[in-house]
Amino acid sequence: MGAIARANSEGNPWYSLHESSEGLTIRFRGSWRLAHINEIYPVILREWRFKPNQRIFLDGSELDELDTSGVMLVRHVLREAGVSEEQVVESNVKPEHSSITKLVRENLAVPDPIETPKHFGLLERAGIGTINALAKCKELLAFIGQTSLVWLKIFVNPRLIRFRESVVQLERVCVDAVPIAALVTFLIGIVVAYLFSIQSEKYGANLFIVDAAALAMCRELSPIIVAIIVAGRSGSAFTAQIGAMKLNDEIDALESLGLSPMQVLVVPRMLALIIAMPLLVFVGDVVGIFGAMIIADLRLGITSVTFIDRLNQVLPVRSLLVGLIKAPVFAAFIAVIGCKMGLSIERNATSLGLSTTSTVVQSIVSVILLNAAFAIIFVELGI
Amino acid sequence: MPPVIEIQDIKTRFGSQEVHKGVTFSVEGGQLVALIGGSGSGKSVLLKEIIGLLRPTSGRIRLLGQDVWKSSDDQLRKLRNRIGVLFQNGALFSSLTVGENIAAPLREQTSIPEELICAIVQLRLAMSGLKQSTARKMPSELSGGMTKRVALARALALEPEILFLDEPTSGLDPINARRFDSLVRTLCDSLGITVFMVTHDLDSITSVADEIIVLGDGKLLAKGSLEEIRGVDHPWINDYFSSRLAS
Ligand SMILES: Nc1ncnc2c1ncn2[C@@H]1O[C@H](COP(=O)(O)OP(=O)(O)OP(=O)(O)O)[C@@H](O)[C@H]1O
Ligand SMILES: [Mg+2]
Repeated sequence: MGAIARANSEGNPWYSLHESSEGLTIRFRGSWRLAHINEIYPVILREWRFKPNQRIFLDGSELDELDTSGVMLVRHVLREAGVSEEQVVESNVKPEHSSITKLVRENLAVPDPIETPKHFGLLERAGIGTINALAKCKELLAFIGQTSLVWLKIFVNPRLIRFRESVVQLERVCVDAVPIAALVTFLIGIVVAYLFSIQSEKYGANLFIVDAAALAMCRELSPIIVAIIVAGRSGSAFTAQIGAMKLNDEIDALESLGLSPMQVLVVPRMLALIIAMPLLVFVGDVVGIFGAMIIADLRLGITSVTFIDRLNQVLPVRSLLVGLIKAPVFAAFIAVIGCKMGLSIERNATSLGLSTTSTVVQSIVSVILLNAAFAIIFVELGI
Repeated sequence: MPPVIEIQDIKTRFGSQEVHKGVTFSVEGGQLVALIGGSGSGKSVLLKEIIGLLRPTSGRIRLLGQDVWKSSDDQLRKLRNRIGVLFQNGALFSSLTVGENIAAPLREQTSIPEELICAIVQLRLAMSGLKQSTARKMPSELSGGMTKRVALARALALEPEILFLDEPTSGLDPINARRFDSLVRTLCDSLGITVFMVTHDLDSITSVADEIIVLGDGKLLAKGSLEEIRGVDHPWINDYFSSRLAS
C-alpha cells in the first residue's frame, strides 16, 4: 500500500501512486498541460513501473487543469510501457475534464509503424543520381521536341507568333539588359587590353594590342560574357515567372482557355532572347573594343585614329560574325532550359528556388560546352 | 468570466478607403462566434488586426486581457502561442510534410521530446478526422478539405485558448463543410476553446454558432444569437437570410 508522491517545481506533487490488490491507482494533481509536459515527462518515465496485466486506475479527482496533450502524455507513456488499453480505467474524472479525456480516448490512433528513413550507400546514391540525371535529359529532349514542333507550326503559319508578349519580353531581356552587359564587357575590354599592353610593350609590338583585343572580344569574350549575364538574368527570370504561374494554377487556366502555354509563354521568350542576344553581343563587342582603345591610348600612346585604322585591317567581318552566330544558339538553349525548368516545377516553394538555381547552372554549363563545340567546328572549317 | 476578445472603436483606413469606421464588440470565453459581412466589408482585415498582424489606424484590441498593440514583441509572441489561426487558404508550409507541418509549432515553441511530439501529432490528426497515413503526404498532394483539416490540426497543436478561423468551410462540399462545423463545435465544447470564425456559410451560422457578429458599412451592424440577428431590420441582413430561399 505504499504511496509515492512526486513534486513539481513549486513543491506540489504531480501525482501519487497507490498500489492495492485491485491494481495501481495513479492520482493526478496540479496542471497537466502542454506547458508542463517537459517537467512531467522525465519524472514519470523514470518512476512509473507496471506489472504485467495489472489494472491501472487513472484518478482525476484531485487534478486541477488538463488538456489533450496532458492526456496524450499519459496514454503515450502507458502505451510505450506495453500497457494495453483494456487495462486502463479512468475513474473519478472531474466533469469539466471528462470531455477532454473522452476526445482523446476516441482518437487514440493505432500507432503507425514509423518508417525509418532509408540510408543509401555510395553506390546506390550514384545509381539514383545517374538515373535521375538521365530522366532529366530525357525530359529536356522531349521538351526540345515539343518546342521544335511548335516552331515548325509557326514557320508554316507565322501569325501564331504572339507579337505583344514577344515585344514585352524583348524589352525585358534586351533593352533592360544593355547597361549591365555594356558595363561588364567594357571592364573586360579594359582588363584584356591592359594585360596585353604589358606584354606587347616588352616586344615593342604595341600596335598588336588592337589585334588581340578586337579578336578576343569579338570571337570569344563578348559572346560568353553576355551569355552568362543573360543566363543569370533572363534564364532565371523565365523559370521564376513560369514557375510562379504554375504554382498559381495559371498554366492550367491558360490551357483551359484553349491557349497553349508553349505558344503563349515559351515561344515569345525564346524569340525575344534569340533576337536580343546577338544585339547584346554586338553592344559588348563595340564597348569592349572601346575599352581597349582607351587603354591603348593611355598606356601605349596609340591614338584612337591609329587604333581604328588598324582595326579596319585586322578585324575581318568574318570574325565579328563568328561571335554573332554563336549568340542566337546560346540564346535558344538558355530560353529552352529556363522555360522547361519553370514548367516542370513541383508544387512547392522550395522547388521554385531549386529550379531557378538549376536553370542558371545548366545554362552556363551548356553555353560553355556549346562554345567549345563551336571552337572546334570553326577551326575545322578554317574560319 | 472576463471577455477574451475586446475590440474598442477600431478604425482602419487604407489610403482614402475607410474599411472600419469604429467597430466595438467583445467576445466571451468558450463561445463559438461567427463574424459575417459582405465581401470586402473588412472581416479578414479585422481578423489580422486582432491577431496582431496588421495595425489598425486607431482603436484598442485586447486579447486574453492583454492589449495586442501595446505589447512588446516578447509578450506578443507569448500571446500568439495561446491562440491558433487557420488562414483562409490553409497556409501550410509547402516544403514540409503534413506531419512536420503539425509538429512545427511544437518543435519551434516547446522543447518536448521528439517521441511525444509524434504522439501528439498522431492525436491531432485523428482529432481532425484525418488518416494517420496523411502525415507523410506533402501539402501539394492534399485536397481542399484535407488541407483545411491539416491547417486545423496545426492550429490546435499548441492547445490554443482561442481559435481563429478565416472562412474554414469555403471551398468544401456541403457534407465536408458540415463535418468540419461539427468538428469545430466538438472542440469548442470539449476543450472549452473560444472559436472566432469568419464565414460566408449560412449553414455554419445556423447550425453551430452561439453568437453572430455582423459587419457592414465599416460598422458593427448587429451582434447576438441567430434569432436576435434575424429580427434586425437591415437591408443586408434581410438579403443575407433570404438568399437561401432565392437559391
Ligand atoms: N493590404 C491592403 N491594402 C489596401 N487595401 C486593403 C488591404 N487589405 C484589404 N484591403 C481592402 O480592405 C477591404 C476589406 O478587405 P477584407 O479582405 O477584410 O474583406 P473581407 O470582408 O474579408 O472580404 P471577403 O469576404 O471577400 O474575404 C477591401 O476593400 C480591400 O480592398
Ligand atoms: Mg476575407
